[in-house]
Amino acid sequence: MKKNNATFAPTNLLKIVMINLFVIFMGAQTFAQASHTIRGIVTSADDNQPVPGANVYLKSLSSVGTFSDANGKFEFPRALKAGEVLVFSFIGLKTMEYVVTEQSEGLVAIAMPFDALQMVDEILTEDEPAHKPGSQKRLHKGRLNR
Amino acid sequence: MKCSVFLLFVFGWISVWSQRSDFNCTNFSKADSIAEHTTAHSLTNLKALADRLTGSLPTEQEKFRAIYKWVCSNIEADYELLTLNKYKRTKLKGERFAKWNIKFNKMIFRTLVQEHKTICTGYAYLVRELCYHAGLSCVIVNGYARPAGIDSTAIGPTNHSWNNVLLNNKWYLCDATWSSGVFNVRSEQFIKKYNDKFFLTDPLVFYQTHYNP
Repeated sequence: MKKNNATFAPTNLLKIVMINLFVIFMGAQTFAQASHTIRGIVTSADDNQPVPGANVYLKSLSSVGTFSDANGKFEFPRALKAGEVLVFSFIGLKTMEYVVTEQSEGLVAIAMPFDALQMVDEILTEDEPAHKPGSQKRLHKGRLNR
Repeated sequence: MKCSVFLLFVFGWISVWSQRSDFNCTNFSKADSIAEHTTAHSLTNLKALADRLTGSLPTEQEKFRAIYKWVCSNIEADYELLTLNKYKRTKLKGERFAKWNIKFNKMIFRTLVQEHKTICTGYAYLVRELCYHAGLSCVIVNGYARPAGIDSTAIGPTNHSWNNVLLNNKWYLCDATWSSGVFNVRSEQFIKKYNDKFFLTDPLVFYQTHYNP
């Protein structure tokens, strides 16, 4: 029994149209979300010195990350898209976030300011002794010479 | 007067239970166990520590519990830093104090990383940072605290740091320094003795010893 060509041709045409639409769509997606390899240097904002060992990780997937090297330099191990956020962390410096943009290229400079805290202390004590000002001065000298 | 005090006590007692009752259905034993078994972890990678403490816990309160218990159990109060800071804060003013504070900040962080010892602000800092890396909102609060109780007519200068943490869209109070232990001044020894009283404390109780200007 011969095939009815009148019903077979539109099906093939539909397939061709769908495939072309798919290719165009994928191309558009690729163009809109270009990936960037992020490289940069992490420094301390207060003295412009490199920060070795700063933790750099992807905020949405924290298992992906790296550390800055001895010169404060880093290269993120995965290409990133605009809108993705990198977190920079180093104890004592303010944790910072960097948002990847379409213009993100070249070296990224991350200057981390010192996390200046108002250092105060009031701890719970037991068995309060009499005040001994002399012993306090002795402790201070030893600590400052560390 | 006596009636007022009694009513205040009863209301405060009820409030304590209503505050803790927010998490009556939460079993913190897994969080406590994770904190207990995460020993000798470096502070050079706070993200890794936060992930290890909280990665397998499903709720915000459990994640915070693990962080809180770990900090309280693994960080000690440093008597030398404490007395040094108190001495300098009374002696130095203005620009001299500002310069000293920067130098002291660096000393605090260095000691925290190398010796796992610190003062109140260091505890609060660590809790805040670990919360950030665990996806929890947490802030440091600088205020006035007095273990014997606050006298509203004699509030002193800022002398203590604690944390506010956002759990399930509600703010809670905690004081990791006071939860971690007590200091025996005579022997100059810090005694690790976990006190749960300052974990997600009811505000009515908390503000009997803490004041936030």
